[in-house]
Amino acid sequence: MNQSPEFPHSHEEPWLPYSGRGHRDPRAGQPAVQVEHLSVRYRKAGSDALHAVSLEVAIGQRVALVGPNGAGKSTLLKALAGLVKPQSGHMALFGNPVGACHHRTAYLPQRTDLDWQSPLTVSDLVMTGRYVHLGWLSWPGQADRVRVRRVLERMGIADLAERQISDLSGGQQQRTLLARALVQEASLFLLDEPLNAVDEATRDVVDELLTQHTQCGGSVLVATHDLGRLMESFDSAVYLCEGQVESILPFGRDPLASLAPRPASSGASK
Amino acid sequence: MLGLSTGCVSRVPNPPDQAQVWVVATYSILGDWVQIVGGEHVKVTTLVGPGGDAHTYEPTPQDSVALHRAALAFENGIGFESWLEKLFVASHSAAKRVVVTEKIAPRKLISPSGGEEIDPHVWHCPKNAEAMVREIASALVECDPMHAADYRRRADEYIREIHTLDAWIGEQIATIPESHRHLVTTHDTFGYFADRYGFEVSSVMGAVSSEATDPAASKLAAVIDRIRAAQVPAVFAENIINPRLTEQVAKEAGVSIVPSLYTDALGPPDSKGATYLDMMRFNVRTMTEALR
Amino acid sequence: MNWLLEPFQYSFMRQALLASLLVGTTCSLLGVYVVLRRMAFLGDAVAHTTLPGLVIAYLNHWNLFVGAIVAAVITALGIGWLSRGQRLREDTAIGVSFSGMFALGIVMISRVQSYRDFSHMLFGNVLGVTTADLVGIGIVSFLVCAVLLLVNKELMLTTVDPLHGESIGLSAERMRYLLLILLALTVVTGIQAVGVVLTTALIVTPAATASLITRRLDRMLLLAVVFSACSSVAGLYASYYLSISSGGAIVLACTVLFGVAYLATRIHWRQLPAQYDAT
Repeated sequence: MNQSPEFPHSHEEPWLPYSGRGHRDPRAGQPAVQVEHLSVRYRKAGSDALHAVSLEVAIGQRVALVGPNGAGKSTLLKALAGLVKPQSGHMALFGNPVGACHHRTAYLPQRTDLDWQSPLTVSDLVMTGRYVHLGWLSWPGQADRVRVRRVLERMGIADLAERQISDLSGGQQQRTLLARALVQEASLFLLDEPLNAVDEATRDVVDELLTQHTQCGGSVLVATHDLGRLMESFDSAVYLCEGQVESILPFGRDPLASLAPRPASSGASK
Repeated sequence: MLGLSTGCVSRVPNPPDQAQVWVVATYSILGDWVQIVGGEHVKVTTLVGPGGDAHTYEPTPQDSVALHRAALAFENGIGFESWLEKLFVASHSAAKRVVVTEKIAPRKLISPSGGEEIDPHVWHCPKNAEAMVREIASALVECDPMHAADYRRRADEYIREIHTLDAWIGEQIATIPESHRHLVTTHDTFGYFADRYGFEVSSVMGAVSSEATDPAASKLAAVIDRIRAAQVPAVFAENIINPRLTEQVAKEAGVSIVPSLYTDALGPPDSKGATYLDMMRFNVRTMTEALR
Repeated sequence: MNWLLEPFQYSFMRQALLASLLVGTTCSLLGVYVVLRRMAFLGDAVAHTTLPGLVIAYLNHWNLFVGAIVAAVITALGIGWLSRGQRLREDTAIGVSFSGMFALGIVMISRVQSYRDFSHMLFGNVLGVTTADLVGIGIVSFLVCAVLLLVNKELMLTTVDPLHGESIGLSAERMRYLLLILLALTVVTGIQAVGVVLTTALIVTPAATASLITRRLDRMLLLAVVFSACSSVAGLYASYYLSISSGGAIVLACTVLFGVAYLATRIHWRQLPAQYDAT
């Protein structure tokens, strides 16, 4: 199933044009995410935040990234989102370099990374999810507004449309961010701790959303602490510890999953 | 209507019963002279009033109004009123600008950066004052020929008083021993006075600027050294500037500081320096007493 | 009724009003973003950094505006560069840069022996605005406002969620540089036209007042412009009738307006039921 994706340059700068045009289409037959021997070191850090990490997320899969704090989960997601430059290794999203398909990739940072005091309403914030398709000098139109309304309904926060984001609870914030990912019409979700300190109802909504997403052919990579539902919700889990992949566990819900070649923690298997 | 004539252009008609020429003088010393020469024929508005520092003055709308309504605007020029140019243009004033120092031989100063600056403090020398008063008179005569005789007469009378003043100053100065003829003030203002009456001058702050208010440490040290070397008995504060720095210098050099001379502006109407003649007499008396 | 019209029968007052309105509009629009991004004292900082540029331009008989812009842009970019990568916080970088630049300007002035007051040569006064000045102010204002309008959504995104912006290719750093450059242009135009104190106050105070009253961005922008306009009018009237400095009067009017808004919102919030979050 896997051909070796084209890696033009191993240390290629993430190419992320902010524009409504210029995006590449996903390459056929490629997994949603492919990471090989990725190493990331922050400036002035003593050791690598990520060291020779390899993993894969096939299309339609829901993969959990678990591990203690500081294990490198956020770093890995940021690298895939193009926010962090790796020192070595390869990454491909849908067979293209990071950034070429960012319109199909929705990255949700941890909730604390946003300035929730900004004077925006919920629909304003969700609308920013359309910006990747709009680009410079282009403004949201009626179709975009309709999309925003629909995703708000889907996330159960339609009544919050005109609420200021500074007035939201943790769960409401998370649903807003997910609504933004939905309105982007991305096929790959990179979520950083989406279930951190949220209420039960929100967990259910999120869970259902991700299930529907993968059923429709979307892919999900989630960094999470919530180990409770690990086996039922996810197709596999990647354990990270101190920047390295400790193990990858498929959960065998899909009988064919165990046959798909998986990279071991060192070296690729072809 | 009688007060305005074809000698100068003014778009603002004065009320019919107003027989006066409306003029503006930029600072109080000029205002004093213009009032004396013009008498009841002029209505003078002075912009920088008594005690004000024309170097750092901030104009108000009433100043623009006065300029707008005036037929003549008397100014010192030579960079003394750096705020005047834009204010005048913006006020759309049709007044004739009279630079009263036009005919005065300038005292030049070469700055360290090589540029040439002219000392604007011309009024401390009575000879210059006389020239300025004559300028005022001829401007008024040109603007209002009907009262030319009055203007000339008043100017002549006043100039006679200036001559008397000049002679008196000469006598007073003669009583100061030559070695003590050294004027130390807060800023460079007595240049022309010094030239006329044979003084040395030093100043604590040099030129005045609202941005650069502290002088270089070396400059201060140099002033203190000069004071000590010249064995000057006293330094002088000024009415327009905060004397704190001068007090420091005085203390350091071990000399007394004499309270304010009137330098760039007249004093308030009830003070000893309310007119130019009063100001000069007060200054010279104070200097003579302190330096004798 | 007559006292309302009397000041403005003079063209210099009309020019002063137009200048304050133009400068005020641009400054307060920019000011909203500056306040939201917690860069409030940047306006004052940029104004101070122009001093060495102005002095050099003045002494060499170059165009003052160009000298100031060059100094301001260099400093703005320098601040951006110093504080990138989170090593040095932005406010620290700003503080260091602007006091250093200002001091450089003062040192330069102190070496020049001059009888002229530099502040009058370098900075403007709202009463000294000529028609030529108005054209310059108008052009810069139009430019800055146009750019702000065109990149409004990108500015907001980088304010609320810079990471998301980065992930879709919108560089937060570039947006910050753009904002700094717009600020430099506005500040330099403002200080040449109406002086330092007025320009810097018009950036922060009307925006701060607007942020007290509303939490919606579009209303905040509108209110900031309205407040700066009202303060300009009130300040000019006060300056005319009370014979006080026009720039200072307008700034005080802005501040009074802020005080009134502050008290009003305090009283308003106290009257609401306790369950409302007042922040």
